[in-house]
Amino acid sequence: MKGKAHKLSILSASLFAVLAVSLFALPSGRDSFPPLPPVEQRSAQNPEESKAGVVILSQSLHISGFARIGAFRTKGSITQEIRSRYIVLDSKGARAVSRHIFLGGPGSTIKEVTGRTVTPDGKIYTLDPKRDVKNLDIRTAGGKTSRAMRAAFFPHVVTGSILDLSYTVVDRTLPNFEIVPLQGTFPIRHLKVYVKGQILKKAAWVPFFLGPAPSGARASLDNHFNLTLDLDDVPPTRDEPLAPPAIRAGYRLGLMPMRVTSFRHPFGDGDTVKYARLFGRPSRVLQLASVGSSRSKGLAGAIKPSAGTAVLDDLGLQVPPEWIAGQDAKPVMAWWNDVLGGIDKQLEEFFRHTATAGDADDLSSVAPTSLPLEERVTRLYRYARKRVHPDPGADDQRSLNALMASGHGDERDVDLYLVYLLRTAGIPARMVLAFNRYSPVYQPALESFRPFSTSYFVKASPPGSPPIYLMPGDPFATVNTFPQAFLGALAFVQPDDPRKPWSISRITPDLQQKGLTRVSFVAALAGNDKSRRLRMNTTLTDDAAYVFRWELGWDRPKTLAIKEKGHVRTIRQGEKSISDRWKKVYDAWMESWANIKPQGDLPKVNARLNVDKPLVFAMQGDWNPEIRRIGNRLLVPAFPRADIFVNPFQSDRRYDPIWWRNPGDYEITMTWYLPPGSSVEELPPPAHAQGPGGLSFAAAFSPKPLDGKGTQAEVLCTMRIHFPAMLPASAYPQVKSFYESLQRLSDTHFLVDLANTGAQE
Amino acid sequence: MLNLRSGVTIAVGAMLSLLPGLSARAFSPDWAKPYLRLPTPTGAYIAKDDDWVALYREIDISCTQKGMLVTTFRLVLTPTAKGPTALALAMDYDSETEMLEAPDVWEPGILGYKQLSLRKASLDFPEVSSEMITSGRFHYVTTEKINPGKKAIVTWRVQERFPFPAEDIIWPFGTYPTADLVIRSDSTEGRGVHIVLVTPDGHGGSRTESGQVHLENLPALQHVYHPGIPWLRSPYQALPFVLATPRDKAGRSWADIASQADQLFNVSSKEAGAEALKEKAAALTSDKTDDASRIGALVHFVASLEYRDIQWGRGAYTPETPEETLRSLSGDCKAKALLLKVLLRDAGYSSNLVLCRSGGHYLSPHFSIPMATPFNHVVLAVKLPSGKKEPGTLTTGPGRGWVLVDPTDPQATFGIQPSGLEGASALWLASKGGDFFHIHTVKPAQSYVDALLSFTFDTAVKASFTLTMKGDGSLLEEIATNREVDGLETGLRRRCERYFQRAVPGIEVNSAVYRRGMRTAPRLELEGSIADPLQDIGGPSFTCSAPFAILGRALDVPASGYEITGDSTSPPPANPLSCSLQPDFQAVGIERSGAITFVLPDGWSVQSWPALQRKLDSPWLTLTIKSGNPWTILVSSPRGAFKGATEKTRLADLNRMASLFRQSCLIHESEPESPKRAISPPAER
Repeated sequence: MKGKAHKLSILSASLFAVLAVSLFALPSGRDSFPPLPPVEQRSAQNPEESKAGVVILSQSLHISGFARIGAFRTKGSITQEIRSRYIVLDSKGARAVSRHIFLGGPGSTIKEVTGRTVTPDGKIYTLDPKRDVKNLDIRTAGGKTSRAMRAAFFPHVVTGSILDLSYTVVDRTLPNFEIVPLQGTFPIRHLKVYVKGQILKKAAWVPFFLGPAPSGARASLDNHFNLTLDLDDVPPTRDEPLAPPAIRAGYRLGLMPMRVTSFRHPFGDGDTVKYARLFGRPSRVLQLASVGSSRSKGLAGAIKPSAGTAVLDDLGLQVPPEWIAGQDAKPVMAWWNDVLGGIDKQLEEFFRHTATAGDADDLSSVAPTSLPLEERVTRLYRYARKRVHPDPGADDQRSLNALMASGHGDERDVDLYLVYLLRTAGIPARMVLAFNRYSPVYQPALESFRPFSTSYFVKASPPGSPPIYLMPGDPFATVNTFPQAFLGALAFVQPDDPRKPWSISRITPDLQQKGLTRVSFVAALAGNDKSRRLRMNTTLTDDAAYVFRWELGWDRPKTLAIKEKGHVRTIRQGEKSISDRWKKVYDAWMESWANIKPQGDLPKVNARLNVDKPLVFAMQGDWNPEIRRIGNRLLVPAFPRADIFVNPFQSDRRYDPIWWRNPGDYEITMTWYLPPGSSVEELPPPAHAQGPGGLSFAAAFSPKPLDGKGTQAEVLCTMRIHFPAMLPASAYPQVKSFYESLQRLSDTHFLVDLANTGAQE
Repeated sequence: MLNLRSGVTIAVGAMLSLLPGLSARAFSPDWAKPYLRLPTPTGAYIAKDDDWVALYREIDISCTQKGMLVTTFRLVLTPTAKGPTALALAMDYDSETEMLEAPDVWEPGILGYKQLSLRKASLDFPEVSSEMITSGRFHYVTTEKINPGKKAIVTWRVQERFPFPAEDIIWPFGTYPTADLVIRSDSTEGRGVHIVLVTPDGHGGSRTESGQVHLENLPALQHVYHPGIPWLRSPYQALPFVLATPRDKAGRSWADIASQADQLFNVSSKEAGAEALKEKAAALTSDKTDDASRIGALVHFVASLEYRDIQWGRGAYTPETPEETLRSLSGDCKAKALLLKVLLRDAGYSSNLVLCRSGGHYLSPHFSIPMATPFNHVVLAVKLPSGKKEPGTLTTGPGRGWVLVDPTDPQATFGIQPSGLEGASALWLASKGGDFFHIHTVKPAQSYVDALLSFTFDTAVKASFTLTMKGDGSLLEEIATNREVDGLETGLRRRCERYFQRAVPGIEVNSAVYRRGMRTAPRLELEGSIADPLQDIGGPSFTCSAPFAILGRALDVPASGYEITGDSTSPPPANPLSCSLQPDFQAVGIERSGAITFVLPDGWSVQSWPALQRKLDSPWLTLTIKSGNPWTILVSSPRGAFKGATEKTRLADLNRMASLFRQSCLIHESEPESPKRAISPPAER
């Protein structure tokens, strides 16, 4: 409808669709293409290729950038030349590549798009730039291209075809930090990346892997930082349910612009440590072959993923990089040690002038030493939050006294106050800065906290006892709260001696999650299938309550949009007020548990209130369960249809570890009130199952007499489930089987005899 | 990191940035003066979430000497919000057939008009999805925040670049509500324009008014029409609109439009490489002995070609040549229909192009004025020399007796009625004698899905099944679209398994065969097994839900039930002009039939079958079940308008139907001495 209303959602969806196109959405070629591959290479070589239906036989990527400082302006540009060759393995693959292929990149110009289809019978169909390439540039005011996009359409694609594509993307901006994704939609048999390293007289792109290093990679780096990187059998990006985010586990090359003191001998002993990060953790002995003459000395060798600067284990967790404590790591860790050391100085300053912050005598009455340690910690935790209310919108305070005077503190200030209290009470305590495991892996080369989502914790570590992690500064945390997003996460731990650097370690993934989600349904049976009222009572404790409170959000506009700890999410689009948000949260909650919408007044629970107590609320809605009358009997479903019972896994195999978004314990009960005079004819037997890592469910069905005289007035169906936080991909078969059993069991029924109720059939 | 900038550059840039402000004053929008003093309007047509309201909106339509329409939009807006609010404007246009002059925005002040800079908040981007690329683009601008009580003046212009269809549809509803709208033809230059207001009368007809159109108190478009809601009629039936045509084209007949459209196809077909096409037609039909098989082979070939995005190559209205379609092995509806027409001609058969309106709720609008814009699809009518009637033979229109074929449908089979076109508005293209008609065929079937399931309990803990499906189900369409070949295929088996797995835990598909004949409807045959198909509910009783869940999925019934898509929360507007919400209208008609045959071990019997306690028999949805072995179900939901129907009532009925497929049958085991199977989870086995 011309000149007419279009919802912004449509606009943004379309825009995102365009922007989401990655560099590797598809491949490239040029006027002269390499000889055709031998026949034996034109079939699938592994299950991954069979599944995809298309394989990129070879892909090469040349990246170069330059900057030139002039008298009036500084010029620069980045050029990427991409060439790809696809082989269409089956009809599904033919469809995948025959409709259109997006070409693009961060640049403002795409040129030299050439390509061809070679059919199995040897006929060649050349890509016609006028007919087969469509300009989809995104333009700003005045028609200036802000992002170049093309869609290419290969002609005559049939199974067995070979497609060649080549194009160049030019971005007329100064070379900056660049990210080169090394994976795409299809598997790649061989990927070659060339990077021209020097970008200024005394600056070069220093390459490193942003996340884990791919296996089998080989690289060479000459004294001008010209990089050649070779990868074989690169898997495609995957989208598996309950998987760690791709941003964490994907293969990506980072190019960091750095000043270089000399291009003549950049890989001397000290500089090797500084610049050879691609090859793994810093070491004076890289065990790499030196190449070239003594004047143009370079490095070459195979890259060991196990020796990478970032390594993931089979749970998708980052292995603590112990090397960062070594002498060799000093150049790499200099920035981090400076920043973390600065925190120590800040803390020191913060603790000065503590006249009103409480002393040991005060604390002896708050948390007497005669009490068990955990109880003392709990009391001090509550005392701290009572004196200083956690408030994400509070201003930073310069000292403890100022904080006490204010009575409100942000996350870090309240944490600091508790550290102070614990230490004053004789309990060793320190600050911990943890990296959310849903954000990119910690990569020291980035020298910034911005790419990561981090959170402060207080670690109370009394001698002889397991450490206790606390979040006093989080307004929605209880003393038992530990957000699952930080289970198994890397964390910097404050040293005892401020002169020493912060150490890095991993928070144990086995830390017990103490939350319980209890959902209790109640409904009355009637003799027909008319809509009935389903009441639903929810009780959430500790971690479960914490998650839900953050869902509800903070009801002060100033802080409504702050980042939500553990969920890496800000306030959603389209929410104008906290009540908008509450309605969405409660609607979604009931829909997820019973597949119905709530009716009547929604709960009025302010997430900020009574945080130490379980979160309790009740909802209700009209429900149409599938109850069937069979003569004088009713066949009744034991449970409502809840999302938690549905098996999310369909594929035969799994590559990624399984990460549950809301691990912990669940108890779902359904109480059916029976019609007067009716009785339960049959009840299913109890059932239970266990899987790896504590994954379990147990179901029980019991009649409940009304008055102790044998009249069965209720049936109580109970399901208890425990989800661990994470499991390796190797556990997938058992997990899938577990879910199938759970889904089947959730569909169970029981029979009610109505013979004595007087109800007519 | 290497962000080195020269101070000189910044200074020069700052000076240059002043230039737009200077030049803007030369083009002051004085036309807006009379409306700047108007008070902020109020009324029910302004919704709570409307941040702005147009005090005045003017749409001028003129025509160039070459016969291209030029539409100029002028608006005076004022914010309704309490605080400062940015003005956001979005306009879509077709970059192949239209040229957009980007908007200018002014803010009137004491010293005159200040032109607002849109440089930093202007974006022009393509309308792209992963499936489709068209020449459609969005132009989106936002201003800086403007204080309450202020005004904003906006103008932009759209010019046609293609002489067909030589008309424009102007919808009176915009992004923001409008207090006062004037649509008029500007005859100061060029050929002059004829405009006419077409309003729905609530019964599918319309009334028209010519001359200048003046409308008041118009709500924003999002409050009168939601294209995402499948319950609504076509906007051509639901909303008033203005039809603009160059004055010399006014009063065109259907035959005139048919002739003009036909010319576009003639041009393309003349460019064809005749020999290559003849060879292709001969190669495809050489081993066929009768007319229907020969035509079927050509249809099969063209339908199997990749669907190439609309407007990719030659533009919105001109089809690619048959030669180009053969080169690329792909085409849109125009290209495919034209290629098939030429191949048929070379094989000695007559055929004719038919323009039509496809797609759910857009079917069968009745137009009181001949116009071309609403048509969005092209199919072909083929003359069978024998004159034999096929299910797809037309019973209406100039091509009565010809067989209708939709070569864009990958499942198209010659003789079988095209899917989803029954009742659609259509235009028979011809240089002479073309005419408007509604498509009806010998077998006036709407969309249909058939499924037959045989379910055998091999043991107490395992069952096997065979399932045969045919029709318009989403799984079959997906397979056809992905060009799965006949025969057993690992990818096909997995695809089918995944399709059923979410509803049926533990299902395994052991074999999947997709058959597609030249003259028979495609069908899918599956064989598989299910672990633990029974639920022990105590005593000698079991329940079994898997067969019904399988059948539900096979019949395209969503396992979790139906939901209203789109935003239906806004109340129907009070303004009588926007009588758009027609909840009595059911756009998509479909007939589902299914049967389950149980093979039970000795001593087992089914005591109860899935059933509804209350009969489901409404004009828009009838459901018939025959309980017993086999258990059969027939669900008919015809297309049309039904008095008394609402989204809510129809949604409730659909969900009652869906609930059947979540039910279980109750199985009784009459030999209690036999070992009863317990629910045994995997870890305990």
